[in-house]
Amino acid sequence: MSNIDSALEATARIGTPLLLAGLGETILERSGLINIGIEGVMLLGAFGGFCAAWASGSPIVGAGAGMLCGGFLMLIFALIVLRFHADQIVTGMAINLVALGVTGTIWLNMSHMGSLLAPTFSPVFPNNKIPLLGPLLLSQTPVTWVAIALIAGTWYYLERSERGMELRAVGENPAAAEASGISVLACRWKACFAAGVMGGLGGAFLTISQTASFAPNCTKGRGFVALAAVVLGRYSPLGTALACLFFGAAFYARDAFPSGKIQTDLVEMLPYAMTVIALCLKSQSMRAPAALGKRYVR
Amino acid sequence: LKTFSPKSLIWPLLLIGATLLILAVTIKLSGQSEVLEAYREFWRGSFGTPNALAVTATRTAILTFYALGIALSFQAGIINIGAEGQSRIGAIIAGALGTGAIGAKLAAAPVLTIPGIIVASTIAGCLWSLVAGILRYWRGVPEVISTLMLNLIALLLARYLLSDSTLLRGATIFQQSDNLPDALQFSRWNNTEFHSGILLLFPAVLLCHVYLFHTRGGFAIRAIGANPIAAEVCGIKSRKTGLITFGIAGAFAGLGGAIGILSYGQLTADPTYPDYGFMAIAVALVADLKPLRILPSAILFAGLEVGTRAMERNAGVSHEVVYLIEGMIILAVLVRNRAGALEISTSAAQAAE
Repeated sequence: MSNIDSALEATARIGTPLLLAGLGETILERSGLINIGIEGVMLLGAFGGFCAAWASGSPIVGAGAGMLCGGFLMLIFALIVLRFHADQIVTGMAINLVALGVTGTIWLNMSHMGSLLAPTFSPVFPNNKIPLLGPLLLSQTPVTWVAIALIAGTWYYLERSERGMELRAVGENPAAAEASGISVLACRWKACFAAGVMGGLGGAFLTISQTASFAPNCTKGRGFVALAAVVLGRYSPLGTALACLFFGAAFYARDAFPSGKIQTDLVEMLPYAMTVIALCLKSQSMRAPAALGKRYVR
Repeated sequence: LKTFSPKSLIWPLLLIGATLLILAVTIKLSGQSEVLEAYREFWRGSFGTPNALAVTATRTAILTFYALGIALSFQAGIINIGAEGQSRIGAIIAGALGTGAIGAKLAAAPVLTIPGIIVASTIAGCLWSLVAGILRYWRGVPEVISTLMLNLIALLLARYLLSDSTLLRGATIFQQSDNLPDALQFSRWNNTEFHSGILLLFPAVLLCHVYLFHTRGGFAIRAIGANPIAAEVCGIKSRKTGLITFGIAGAFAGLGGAIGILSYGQLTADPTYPDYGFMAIAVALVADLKPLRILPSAILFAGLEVGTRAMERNAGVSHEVVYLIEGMIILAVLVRNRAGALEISTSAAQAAE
């Protein structure tokens, strides 16, 4: 493979978990909820996906389990935030801590079984010679295909479908949405579950596709990168996807160059610094959903 | 303190009971040792020996500093989750001043320079926090996103500075600074971890309490948290008060970062006390955001943290369970507080926007 091809291949591969989590978070934020627990959702998805794949011998079962784990954790988030009207940020923080604690504790108890390896997804068409499409799509695993399909799916859902319009209405003005007959709570519960499922799959991708093993805190801040991508992408699915792929490329560049040539820590800082700078320059034009992060009591 | 009643103890006791239960389940699951045996290790590692007490005391001080800043912010309706990053910036400044040529010079008069380093770190933490404050009040950037991003930036900045030997990297090991000169490190009492920096926590708690509940400035903080519109009508400038709150919170975090470096003796790639900035949110919430209650709350959480580490060393039980317990405690407090202070303050802030 040529250099460009391997760069494209790596960009799509590294971008996949960011895409999955970022698109889920986009849907959630458009419904007016912000979840900084996305990091924990990914971590639990990575762990659940790994365990299920290892126990069953099938990466597909693992992916399913990762999605369920993420969805379950987000249902807890929804319960605390929607039923008990708690602060979303503090709840998200607690979700992160819970995921870190659960996975770390169980993992230590599993580690005496020796080094565990899970079965992984394999590329659909490895070693193909097709330019551009080959490395970006064909030689990726099915999970990446799902992620790319979800870019279009999320875009259609949010921007073109009636349900998506309702969800955006809930995120902009929940009281008005409620008055026009939309159930704000039902809409947000569903958005939470969807974001959890997508974040969980993104996490599972790390342990049953990119690598075959789990390590404590193996998501290493990818959830926060996805969060940054949503803000940079101006809360739109296409923008988020572009930001995720850009960060994927940046992280590839960090790993590909010999150490010393490129400051790895500064590259890793890129998503966060860009988000702060973009918010600072353009916070008016990249307006968040009006009800984002606010408590809604019917 | 005036309103003390035995009833107010029910809730903390409930949390402690739940904590012990989660610990017991974890110990059972790990199957490495008997529950009572593991509990004994927990006690010996957290409060049972003078050495353990000293370790718990140092952790209590750090948690208290962070939690005071968080409590003030939350009282003002500002969800500042940036203690981790603000303390990191404080630590970087302490490391930069304490090592190398500057450190060698400063070591000549430690009586003057140790307080100097602490003040410099405090100011640095304050400025780092003010970045988020300024972004919020001048550019409308939500402090949640900015403090979260500034945390990660600060952590990576420290790593970057430590990976280059022309900057802060020490002569020997990658991503570690040189040791601070002995004169600049807190002297340890009787070979325990106990050091004089801990004593700063008592004036800090008292000052915070008096400021929050017995001064105009503190009243303004509580007022903009409770109802920004009413506060503005009464002539309280919410922007000014908010910025002051950001500054104080950052100063406390920076102070914590400096104390960590001066007692540990060097700057490392990971924070001296990693994740304490998040742990402190649990400390502040359990204390109902009241400075005087933060001290007992911090003692409990510090004991939990130190004790579970001892359990991991001596009884094979995972220390990570501490994160689970903290997360659960935060969720429990949030559920209980649904008519509590935090709720009222943020829903009023919402009404104002």
